[in-house]
Amino acid sequence: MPETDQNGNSDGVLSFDLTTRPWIPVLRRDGTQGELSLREVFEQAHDLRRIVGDLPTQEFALVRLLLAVAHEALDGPQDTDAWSDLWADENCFAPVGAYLDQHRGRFDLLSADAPFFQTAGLRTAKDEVFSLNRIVADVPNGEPFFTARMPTVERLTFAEAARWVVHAHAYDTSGIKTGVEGDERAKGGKVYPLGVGWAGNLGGVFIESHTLRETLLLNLVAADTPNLEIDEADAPVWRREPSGPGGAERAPTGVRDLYTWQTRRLRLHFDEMGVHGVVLGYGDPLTARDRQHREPMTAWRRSKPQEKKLRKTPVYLPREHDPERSAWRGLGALVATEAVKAQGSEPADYLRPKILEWVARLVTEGELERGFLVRARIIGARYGTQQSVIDEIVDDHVSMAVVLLHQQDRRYAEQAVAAVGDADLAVNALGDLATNLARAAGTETEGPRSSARDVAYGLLEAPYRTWLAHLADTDDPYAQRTAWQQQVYGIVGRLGDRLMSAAGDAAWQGRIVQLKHGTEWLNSALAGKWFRAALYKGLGRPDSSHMPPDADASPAPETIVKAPA
Amino acid sequence: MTTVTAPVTPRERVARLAAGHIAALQRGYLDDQSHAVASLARLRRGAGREAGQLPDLWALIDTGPLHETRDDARPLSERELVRAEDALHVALTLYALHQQSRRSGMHQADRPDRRRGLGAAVRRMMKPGEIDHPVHKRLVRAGTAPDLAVLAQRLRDIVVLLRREDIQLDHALLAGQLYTWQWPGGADTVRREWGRSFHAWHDKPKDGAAASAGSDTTRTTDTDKDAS
Repeated sequence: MPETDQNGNSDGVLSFDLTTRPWIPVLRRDGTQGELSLREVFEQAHDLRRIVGDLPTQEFALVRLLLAVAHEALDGPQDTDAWSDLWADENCFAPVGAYLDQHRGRFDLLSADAPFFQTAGLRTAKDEVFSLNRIVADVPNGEPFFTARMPTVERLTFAEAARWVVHAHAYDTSGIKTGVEGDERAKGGKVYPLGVGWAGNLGGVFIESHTLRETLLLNLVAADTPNLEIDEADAPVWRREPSGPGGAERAPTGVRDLYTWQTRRLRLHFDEMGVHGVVLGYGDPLTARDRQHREPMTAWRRSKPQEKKLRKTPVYLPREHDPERSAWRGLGALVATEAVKAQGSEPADYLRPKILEWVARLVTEGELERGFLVRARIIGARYGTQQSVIDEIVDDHVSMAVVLLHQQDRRYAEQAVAAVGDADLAVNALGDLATNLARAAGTETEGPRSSARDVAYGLLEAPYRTWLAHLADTDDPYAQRTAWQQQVYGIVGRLGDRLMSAAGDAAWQGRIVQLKHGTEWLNSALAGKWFRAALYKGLGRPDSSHMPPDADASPAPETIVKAPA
Repeated sequence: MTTVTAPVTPRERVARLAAGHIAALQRGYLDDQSHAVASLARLRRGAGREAGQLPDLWALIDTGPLHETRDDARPLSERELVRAEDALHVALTLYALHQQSRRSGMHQADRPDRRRGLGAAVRRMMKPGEIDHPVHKRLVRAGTAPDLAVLAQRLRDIVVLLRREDIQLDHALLAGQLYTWQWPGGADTVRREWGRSFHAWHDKPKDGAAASAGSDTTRTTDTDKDAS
């Protein structure tokens, strides 16, 4: 199609074809950044490191969009054999070009009839057009000072607007929205809250690898993945009728549907220079409950309150990320299998993301080498007041060898999870020490306890990540675990020494407390002794080189005194 | 506990010198040798006072070995010498007070199976499972003494009690601790040694997790809460 000017076609009608115009921000392998069209992203995927978004949540939304395109263009994959052919074929994304040509009519951001991810002619009764703040998520509502875009977003380029349109469907906040003409749910010009965008419900997880090509392929689940239901007729939004105003809950047909789910109805207002306003209303809401057979990019947890309310068992909800908790500490939920978790007939408390089940299958069936390194990338939004604002965005990752996901050889995953347990144990011991020191000094205990725990987790994080990334380098995960325990003992032990020194006179003076076997003088020395005993009990005695110089008096069993009669 | 290869630290030199002196005095005193008895009597009067206050005692405490340059240790600096001599003085005078009119040796070396550190000695004055408040308070006060003179005085009070109860103490270990005490941060180190010694006293040998018996009631172990 010949183009006569920058943003239009020969009729002078504006157009922004997402298949050919650059709009997706990428990081290349050489470290440079750029913007590419949909077509270029697939053509150059082997040379790209990853998608970069204006926010991490945007990256997640864009990756899902790309995956929907890939599933469509590659028609599958149907099974691991088909997947393995793709993995081996450097030009596996070649069919994408033809596919995009075929559907390019639905990829025009500015189309008058079927604008991409929007609704043509969407309007409110009073024909209001709203500020772009509504869809640009880095302008916190009511907090205009926390953005580079003070005080409002006046204009967006078409490329940028396209990204925020994709983001809005995935992560838009809930709250009362203006009713659009034709939406039967509007009451008095308003639509009452129908929930956040679909991805906003999830504790988003995807697998990241060295290049975008590998990343896309690793997340390209096969149609025959157990416990993941993908209908024959599964289709992304651009193969469906253009959405009208309003919307209704319907059952999703599979990943292509979910990756492009239209939770909103919107329409951009623009001129030759760019986008200057938006109309935004509710689209197709989707409850997150019990979607574990459909949505692969999140872990799931059982919800006891929901089970009570609905009188059925089990009920699963997406397991959201805790911003206070670093990804490595949640590793257990990522790598543990359901079989390990489920005891007897009781349903599992947690289900790991199907996307990891899928990669686990690739390892187990030998499609991926055991030492192959992937990152579990973790992205999620936490919403604030009434889900009407995004409070925090979690963006984290854990690097690990795929052998951790192996379904038969559980040794590596078990040691990796147990190693997090080692860290937890040591941090708990340190927390107890802080509590006991505060008690000995007669001060408030909660503050010291939680700050000691924070510091300890902070100091253990980098060593753990390094340890985990090299876990597959050896044939003996148990020896690695022992080395890790010694490292934890050293790091947390030194923290304990510092706490005891800092506790000073007051904690030394201590106080007399009543214990089971009698009265005891609780002071820094006793607190320290318990601390060492807990570390020793949980982690074993470290090499003497890791011992602090004065630790010889700590209560090792072989040196304990016989009480005089 | 002493490693053979590592150079001897000033603290160890102080402790060894004290051990040598005290062993000789103790042997002589128990054998009723008049020289030793007289020496102890004179040293006793210095208990709880600073070295500088009693010049007539200087001749009784031979600090010569501290000035010798040995193969396994570097020469001591002037400041180290002063502190070492002060520590020796306080330790020996306390021992002399402790030994007064006792017919067995009140100085006994601390060993893993037979604790004779200051904390353990204080603890042995109490009934098992109970804390004797006045006694306990003396140890606490010693631990928080602001300077060596005050510390010497407070230790004197403790030693008087130990003598009354016929409880032994490792005075050489104490000498080393008194040396360490005088350095920045040293008081904290020594205090922790005393505290551990106090709490190590009642451990049962067979139960490796003896500590946890006590800690059960005082710790609030977090079960790491999940984000749900």
